[in-house]
Amino acid sequence: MVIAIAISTVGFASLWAGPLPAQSDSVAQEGALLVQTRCVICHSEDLVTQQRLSRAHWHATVTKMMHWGAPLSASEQKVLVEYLSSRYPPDASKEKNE
Amino acid sequence: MTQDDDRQISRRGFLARAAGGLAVAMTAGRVWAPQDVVQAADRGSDGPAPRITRVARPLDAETPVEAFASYLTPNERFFVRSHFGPPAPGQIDEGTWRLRVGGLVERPLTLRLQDLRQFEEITITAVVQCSGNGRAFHRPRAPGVQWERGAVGNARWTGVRLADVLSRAGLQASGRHVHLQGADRPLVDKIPLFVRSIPVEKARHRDTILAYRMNGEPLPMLHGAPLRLIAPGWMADACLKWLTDITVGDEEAKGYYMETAYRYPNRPVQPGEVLKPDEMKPVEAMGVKSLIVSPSQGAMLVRGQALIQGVAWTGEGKVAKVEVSTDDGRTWQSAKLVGEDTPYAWRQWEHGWHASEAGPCAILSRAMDDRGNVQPLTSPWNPGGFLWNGVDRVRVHVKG
Repeated sequence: MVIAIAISTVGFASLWAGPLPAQSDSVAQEGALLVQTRCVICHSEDLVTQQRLSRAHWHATVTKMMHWGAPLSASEQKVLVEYLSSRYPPDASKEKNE
Repeated sequence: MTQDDDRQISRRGFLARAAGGLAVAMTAGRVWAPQDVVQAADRGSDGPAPRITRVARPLDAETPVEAFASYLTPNERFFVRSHFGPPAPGQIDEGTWRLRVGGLVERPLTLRLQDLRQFEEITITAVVQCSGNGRAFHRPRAPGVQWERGAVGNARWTGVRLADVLSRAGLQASGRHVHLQGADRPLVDKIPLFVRSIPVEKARHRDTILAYRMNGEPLPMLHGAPLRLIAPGWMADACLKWLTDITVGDEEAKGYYMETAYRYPNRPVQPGEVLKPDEMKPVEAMGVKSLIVSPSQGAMLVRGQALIQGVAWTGEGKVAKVEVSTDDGRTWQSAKLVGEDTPYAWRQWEHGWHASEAGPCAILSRAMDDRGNVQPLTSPWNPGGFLWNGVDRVRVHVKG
C-alpha cells in the first residue's frame, strides 16, 4: 500500500513537472547541490559565487579544492565544473564601479 | 610601563579580546564567541553595517569607505581577512600562549605576553591593507576574495620592535629570512598552513613591530590577538595575525602561501596569462593609492559648493600630491593635503568643487608619491589580482 502510494506520487509529480528535465537543468540542480553540500564544508557559498572564471580556471580551482580535501568524485567534479563555468563565467563588464 | 598597561597586557582576558572593544554582553552561562561578535556587527537594523561581508566563513569583511572619514579606523570597523578564521580560544589564552623565536639564532626564546615588557614599547600609526584590496576591479577577474575599496585601514599599533626581540635571540649571520606562523589552523590537514617569511632587512627595520594593542585597546580577536606583526608600508600578507612562531632561516619560507600565493609577475604580462611561481615574486610594499571618502557612490548633490574629501597613502616614501577630476578624468586639479602627516599613516585630503552642471558626474582621485609613483587608470593585471591601485572613481548626481 505504502509503495503503491509512493509510486503513484512520483508518477503524479512528474506529470505536473512537465517534460523530463534537459541535461543542463539536472547539471544545474546537481551542481548547486554540490556547492551547498561539499564546498560549504570549509567556507561559505559566497566565496564561490563571487568568482568569475573561465572553464579552465574553474577546473583548476576545483582540482585544487579536491587536493585540499573537498570530497568530490571524478564525475561530481565534472558536473560541478560544468555548473560553475556556465553559472559564473568571466565578467562581461569592462569598467569598475559599474 | 604603567600599572594600567600591565593590566592590559597580562590580565585582559579572552573575552575582552573577542569583543574587540565593543561592550561585552553576557547572558548567564553563554560566552560571546568571535562569530557572535561578527554577526552582531553585520546586523544592519540600526544603521549601516560596520563592515561589508565578502565571505561569511571564514570571515572576510571590508570597511564601508564612508568610515574613512575618521582618521583612525575604529577596531570594530577595520577590515578582517582570515584564511581559516580565528584560532580556537585555548590556542591564544594568555596563560598558555607563547611566542617562540628560533631557527638561525644563538639563543632560542619562548616568551609569554608579559615577557614582552622587557623590550621598549613603541607606537606607530600605519595603514594596513590586504594585498587583494581592489581585486574585484581587475579585468579579467582574478580568483580570490573580490575585495572592492575597503580592505584597508589606518590604526595606531603598539608593541615592541621585532629587531629588539631578534637581537635578544642573537641573529646568526646566515639568517636571511624571518618565517612567521600564527595559531590559526585549517579545518582539514591537507590545507596548507598560512606561513610566510619576510627578508631579514625588513624584519630588523626599526619600525617593524610585534603589535599587541590596536588603537589603544588589546589587539582584538579578529585582528590577531594577542600578537601580530606590523610591517609598515608593506601589504598585510606580511602582517601575520595570531603570531606564535618566528623562525629565522637562510631561505624564503616553503609552502603554498609563500611559494604560490601572494606573488605577482616579475615581468609585464598579458591579461589572462598563466605564469609559473618562479616567474613571480612575493607581494611586499604597497603602491601609492587614494580613496574618495565623500561624496559616496551614488550620492545626490545640490548644485553649488561641494567638498570632496578622501585619504591617500603609499608604501615606501610619502604622498606628495593628490589630484581630483570632476569630469571623469578629462581635467585634474590639485587637492589640499590636510591633517596629520606621519610616516606609514595615510594623509587626508580635500578639494572644494563648484558643482555647476546638473546631471551625472564621475569624480576621480589620483595620488602620487615622492618617488615618482602615480596611480594608473588601471593597475597592471596579474594572475592573483593583487596590488590594485587604479584611480578611485565615485559616480554622483548633481540635482538641477
